[in-house]
Parts: sequence; structure tokens; C-alpha cells
Amino acid sequence: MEIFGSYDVVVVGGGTEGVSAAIAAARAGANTILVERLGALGGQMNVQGPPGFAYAHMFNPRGEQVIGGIVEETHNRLLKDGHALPHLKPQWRAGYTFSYVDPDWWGLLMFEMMAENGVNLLLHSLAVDVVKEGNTVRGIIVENTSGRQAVLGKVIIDCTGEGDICVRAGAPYEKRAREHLMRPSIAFTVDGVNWEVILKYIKENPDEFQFRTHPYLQMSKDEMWKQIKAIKKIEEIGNVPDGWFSIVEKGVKNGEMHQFGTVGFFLTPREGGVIQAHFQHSAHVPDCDATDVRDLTNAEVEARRQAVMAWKFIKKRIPGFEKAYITRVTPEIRVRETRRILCDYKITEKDIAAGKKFKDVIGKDQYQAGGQHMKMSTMLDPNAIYAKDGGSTDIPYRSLVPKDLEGLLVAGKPICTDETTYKRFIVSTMVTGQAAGVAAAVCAKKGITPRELEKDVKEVQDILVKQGAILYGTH
Amino acid sequence: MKIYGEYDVVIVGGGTSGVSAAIAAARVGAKTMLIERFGALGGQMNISGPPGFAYALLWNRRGEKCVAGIIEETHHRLEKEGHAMPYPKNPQETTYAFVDPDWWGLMIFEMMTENHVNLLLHSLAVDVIKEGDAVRGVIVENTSGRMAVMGKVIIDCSGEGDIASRAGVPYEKIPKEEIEIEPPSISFTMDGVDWDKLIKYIREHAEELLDAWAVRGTLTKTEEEVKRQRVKLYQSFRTIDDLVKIGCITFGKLTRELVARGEYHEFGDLGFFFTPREGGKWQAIFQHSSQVRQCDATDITELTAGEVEARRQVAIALKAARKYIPGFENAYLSRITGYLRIRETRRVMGDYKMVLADVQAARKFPDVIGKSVQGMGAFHTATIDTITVIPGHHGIGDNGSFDLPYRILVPQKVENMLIAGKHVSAERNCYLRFLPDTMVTGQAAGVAAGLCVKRGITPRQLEKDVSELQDILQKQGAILFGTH
Repeated sequence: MEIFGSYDVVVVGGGTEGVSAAIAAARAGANTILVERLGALGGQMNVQGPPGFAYAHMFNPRGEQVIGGIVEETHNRLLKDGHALPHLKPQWRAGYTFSYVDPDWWGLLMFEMMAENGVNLLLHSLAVDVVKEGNTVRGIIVENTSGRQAVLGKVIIDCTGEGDICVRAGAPYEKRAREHLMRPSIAFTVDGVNWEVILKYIKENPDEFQFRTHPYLQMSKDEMWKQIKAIKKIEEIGNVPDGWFSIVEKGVKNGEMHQFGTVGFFLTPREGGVIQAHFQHSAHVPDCDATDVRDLTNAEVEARRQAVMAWKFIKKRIPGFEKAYITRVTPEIRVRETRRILCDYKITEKDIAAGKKFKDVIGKDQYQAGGQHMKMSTMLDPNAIYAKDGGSTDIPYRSLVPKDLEGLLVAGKPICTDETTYKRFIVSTMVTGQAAGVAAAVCAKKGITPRELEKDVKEVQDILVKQGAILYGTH
Repeated sequence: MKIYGEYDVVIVGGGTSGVSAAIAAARVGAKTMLIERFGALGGQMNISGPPGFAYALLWNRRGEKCVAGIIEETHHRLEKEGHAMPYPKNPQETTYAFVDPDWWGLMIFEMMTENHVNLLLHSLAVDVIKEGDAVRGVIVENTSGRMAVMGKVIIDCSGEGDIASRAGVPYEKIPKEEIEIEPPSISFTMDGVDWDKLIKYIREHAEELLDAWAVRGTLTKTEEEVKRQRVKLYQSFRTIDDLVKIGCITFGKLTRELVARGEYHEFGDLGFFFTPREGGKWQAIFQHSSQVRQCDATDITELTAGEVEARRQVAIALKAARKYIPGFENAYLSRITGYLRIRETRRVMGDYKMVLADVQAARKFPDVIGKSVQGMGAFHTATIDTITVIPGHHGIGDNGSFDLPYRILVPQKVENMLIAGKHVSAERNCYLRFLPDTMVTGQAAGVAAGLCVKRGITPRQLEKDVSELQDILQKQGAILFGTH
């Protein structure tokens, strides 16, 4: 077989964890290649997304910043150029912070950063298999317009989002039953929204909306609404996760709206202060295991059916959207949940409850356990578990090292967690991506395996801190 | 190897040719499977596009409608829902009928469901299954692994002739050392344009805007005449609805000035086409503002490098547009294509090869399966001028149309295969890469494949008598006869 090239670090998948891993590895001195099946970089951020909580939850409910690194760096860079909103930390929401960026400029920035950091790219290339020697992964096999080739590396990082490479290499994994998997969505962005009308309606109809505040705050509903009523611009609200309940209920009853989603939106900032509404809870496909190509195909069809129905309904019935228009539809569904790869440590909800700190910390997360995406996102998970003190939980390096295999790291959604602590949010994927990138580069430099690195992660931690990551000093 | 399924007709590639082929085949009763590497359908129309000439040039210069079928059906359906600009009132003068690409993409999924087309998305076709000269199926890779999809007739709608070339069909590609490949582009759409301000500027600076690829001589008019007409036209503009009729506007003089000052790159013009949105809204779509020089998209290293270079150019163009195009001071990026739109790679050789002389003679063929009114002989080039034209070539001889014969869809050397889309059999000077052509050849290949299966014959055997194929195409709305 043709060998495309041999590298220190091969990152498979150019989504949010993959771009972070590639930048971090290259900065730590590794000859790095990033392999992506599409012609674009960014995955769920700009191709299939963004998700509402894209750049969000960077601060814990106490107001301490717990996410830095490449997330903070890219946010700052876009903010400077007018392509982001400043960190939004509505007092009444605590912990539900937002740091919105323009997804399309974010995508352009990623390409710039690849060039700046000397990352090698291999786009339009689908990874279909691994090259193994005993238990050691030596490379991957890709298919593309030039045929079938091998890409070899000292360390391979699986950033496919679904653990495709780990599984093809034989790593053990967990996956919930098909009917319990969180549902994938097609998102659409609309412009021409009358924000004054939207805000007025929200303020006048408190029973029609559900806003999330953090239990750490113990804020009463009256107090919360007092604050909402003082809002002057839509940005101050963060997002409108779902609402217009009686209008939607009526719509579902008379067949104008489907039952698989809600009406609610996040914000997309554009140059010059324009705010668009980004809908990504209005199409949810049930019973889709995205690692089965039949389900995946059917979901692409069903998600669009729902999106069309939802938008026609919203435009017709929700005050403020009468003159709005779709300006962008994601070309693929965004897959929320598939596999979790079993690694040397599994993060559990007990760790979240305790706000646990680990010696081999490589990043943090303040999201609760059990923040499941429900069929209707009007349902807040009553069993969600929050860090005891409004703080954050560490992510240990060992949760990125797949069991039974050498030469391999995993980053992004499929890192090792139990069901309820699944690390699917973008900021977590970028944190674990950056850490895996640095770890892989250190392994390549020292000539050791990712598992051998577990003995002493100090150098990785030092480099991460120098790269702006937050590892210590917060609750 | 695991077999995913067996079908009458297997279409590889869900771009504009592929979706047309799938709908057409399913409508003649074939059990049809459409395979696409991405999670979306539509290719160059909505994912990597749309190109400016997406829904344009459906009429010849005499004003006769020459291209219809699925392309017309989809236009009318979108127009009814408020997602398309109506057909032109005077098609001998202007010939654009823009549609909303995002709604087009959503509608195509609806049409797949309505016509019971089987889909296999997120699946990259990597090889073919052959028995002697007969193609029996394709091999795909996807999340579930490697599997075979079997079919009685396989249609290569990959856009680049990937399947035909892997099956061993001869093809042509231009010698890169001697000729410039038509460059691929990333397109971007801007919203928030002050159209009144721009139109006032166009009215007052009409003479300055003649430095544009679209302003050139024709068969019946000299360049000077065209220029005089343009000035008059520009001076008559009052609203955005006047402007969109001409399809595009190019700021050639401005581009040259900015390049000289180092504020713009040298690989394409600063200019745009139009995207209609619900409720009469217009956006500007730039698709000549990034053009990658000498990128062979069938070479993975060049394709990858092309994606990087195109985005570098896009970022420069976005900044220049906001800063220098009148009315764009508060405009903003609203959509960017996910990957390069590839203009030129392989042309697969079939039982007939279209040549420029056929275009010049407005040639008609007994085995016509559709028509084209593309003047041909013009090529994209990664320069400020964007387009170069073969000297002395003035398009279609009688300002009419030329026929597309069935034989250009039948690849040499193999059986059970058809080709549709930009890689159909043609010489480079009449490369049939335009979107209406791809939908016309797609629809014809779909019907032909369905018919072959029904009759138990090969696509090559069908060449002997295409009358039923022609009858069905006409019933499906295609225009085959009765125009210049």
C-alpha cells in the first residue's frame, strides 16, 4: 500500500477536538498531520453546528473561569476582529455563561491557525482502518480521490467524535441502547428577526418560558423574572432554550408542528453587531444509532422533515419571526451521542458530585452529570448531579488512554466516562483535544507510549499551562 | 464482503446530476439507490455552491426555452413557496432565475421521499465490482465498515468520473504543464447590504463597471455595442429587483486598483451573484473571489492545499468587500461553502465525444436526450479577469441550442454503466460542467438506466433505439425537439 507519509502525531478527525489537538501537538514541537473526511475543518462547531453550548460554560457558578487554552485564545482572537460577543455572564443564570462566536469566521480562523502552526493537512480523506503491530497502533488507512493510503505516526489521536479508530483497533467501549441515545439534530440559522417583539413577548409571558438558573444560586422564580424584565438587549439573556409553550402545544395539536422538538434558539453573532437566531432543538431524530449507516441515513431525512415543519410553524405563529428568513442550514446532522471508549480511568458522576481534583489533571469541566438532552428539551433532568460547591471537576489524563492498546489516545466526546458524565460539549472536546495533542507530542519526543506517560504527566501539565490551559486554582 | 443491498439502479454521487438521475430512475419504476459521501444531497448547488449559472441559461438567445425537466420542476416548486425568483419576462435579454440554495437542498430530500429513492449517505464509494467488462456494483466505506452495493445499472454521478475511472474507462484530463486547469472556488454569501446605495453608485458610475467578464462581444453584437447597452441598462436601475436580473456585477476596475495597492489577491475578481431569501430578501454570493491556481482535484495533496488557499483568499475578499464595495460597509458573512466547488477534472470517454464544432453548428442528434444553450469556449482562470475566451469563438451558431446525444453518457470499454454530470464525454472546449447540463444528463441517465433494467438490456444496447427513452423524458417535462 502507498504510504502518504510518516509523522510524529497523526490526528484523525478535524472537528473541535481534532483542530485543538493538531494545534497543541504542533506547538509542542511535533511533526503533526490532521486527517479529515470533509473539505472543511471544525465539525460540530461550524459544519454541523454550532451547538447552543458551543463556547459556553467557561465559568463556573462562582464566576471563576475554568476553561482557557485554545478555547479562550480563539474566542479572544475573534472578539478582537468583531466576530464574537464578549463573555456573557448573566448574574441570574450563574454558570450558564455564553461566549458566542461567529461559526463561519471561526472556521476560517481554524485554517489560518493550521497554517500558522505548520500543521500538515489531509482533507477529503476518510479513515477506514488502522495499521497495527501487536497491540500497538502504528497508523491509519484512508480512502480518498487518490486511492487507498497509509498514514503512519508515532502516536495516533482518535478525534473522530465516535471513537471509530479506537473501535477499529479493537478498543473496548460502551454505548447505550439505541432508544436511549441522545437524539441528533439539523440546525438552521435565521436572520431578519424582530428582537424587540421577541423580548417584549418573553417579558410579558413568564409562564410561557423556562430559563435555567443554576441550583447553586438558589434563586426564586420571582427574582429571576425580575432580572429578565430588566433586560434591554437579547444578548443579555444568553439564550432562549425553549418557550412559547401554549403556542407550540396548540401547533402540535393542530398538526402544524411536530412533537420531536421545541421552539427555542441560541445566538449567532455577525460582524457589525447583527444577531441571528440559531435553532438547534427544533429537529430531534429518535432511535438513531449514528454508528449504523442505515440509521444515520434515515436520520438525515427525518431531521430535515422536522426542520422544514418547525420553521414554517415558527414563522407563521411566533411573534417576531414574521419577516425572518433562513440564511443557513447545516449540511449534516450533528451527532450528540454514540460510543464511550474504555480507558485507564473512567470519570463518574461521583467525581462530579465531589468536584473531584486529580493529580493527572489536564483540564476542567463545570457541567453537571446527567445534563441529558431529552426528547423535548423542556424537560430538565431532575436527577442531574452538580459539583458540591459550585465549582468544577478535573479531567484526568488517564481518561484519554484507551485500554488494551498502545500508541493511541482518544479525545472529544468518546473519552472514558460513565453515561451521565459524557463529555460531549464543545469546550470539553477542545480541552481534551488540546491535552491529547500535547501528550502525543511529549510521547513522540521522549520515545514513550501514552500509557508510559501516565507515570509522570508533569511536563504535559507545564506545557498545557503555558498554552493557557486552566488546571489549578479554582473550585 | 457484506452486501448492503441489491438494486435495479445504483447512482454514485448525490450532487445535481445524481439527485436528478435518482428521481428520474425511480419515476420509471426502477428500485433505485443513491449513494453520497456526505450527509447532504445537492453537491455544487447547495453544499459547495451555488454557481452563478445554477438556474440560468435555460433559454437560447432567441428567447426559446430549451432546458426543462427536473430543473424546471424544482424551480417552479420553490417559486410557489417563495424561494425562487420568477422566470425572466424577456429571456432573450436576461436569463437568470435564482433559487434559494438552502431551501433547494431541503426540497431535494422531500423529493427523494416522494419518489421512494433509497439513500445511502455518509458513504464513500472506493471501488467497483466487475465481472469481465460488466460492472456489477460498487464498494463503499462508511461508519458500518466496507460493503458492496449491487446494481443492474450503475450511474457514475461523482462529478469527477471516479467510478468510471476505477472501472477502467478511458478518460481525458488536460495537461497541466500546458494549460491552466479551471480553478476551484470556495463561495461566500453576504447579507446586510445597502442595495439602494449600491444601485445609486452603479447608476452614477456605469462606465466604470464595464471592466467585467460578462461584458463582451457576442455573435450579433460587437463589444462596443454591448458596452453601450450596459451603460444604458445600469443607468436605468432603480431597485435591487432591477439589478438581480442581470445576474451578477463585477468590480473589475476596483479589483485592479486593490491588487495594485496590495489590498486584494490576484486570483479572481471582486464581484457577486445573488441569493434570494424568503420574503423578497436578497443576499450577495461571491464565487469568483477565491480561485485556486493549478489545483488538480483528483490529487489529494493538491485538493487539500486548494482548500487552504481558497480560504486564505476568501478572508482577504471579505475584508475588501466590506471596505471598498459601495453599500457593503455594514454587510456581513452569512454563509460559507463547506468545501471547494471543483470546476474541472476528468472527462470520461463515451461512445460519442462532443466537440466545439457541434456547439458552433447548433448540432441536432437523432439520439437527443436534452439540450444545452451554454455558449462554451470560455474558461475560468485564476486571475483578476476570471474568464478567458477562445479567440473568434462566439457561441452557438444560430443563437439557438445544441443537442446532447445519449451516446455521451455511455462509457467506453465497460457494460452496465452510465455517466452523468460534468464528466460526460466531451472535448475540453465544450466541457458540459454547468449545473443545468448536469441535471439534464442526470435525468436522462436515470430514465435510460430504468429502461435498460425493465427491458433487460445494457445501456449500450439501448443506443440502437432511444425512442422510448425520448418519449419518457418528454413526459417528464424535458425539451428535446422543436427549438433552434
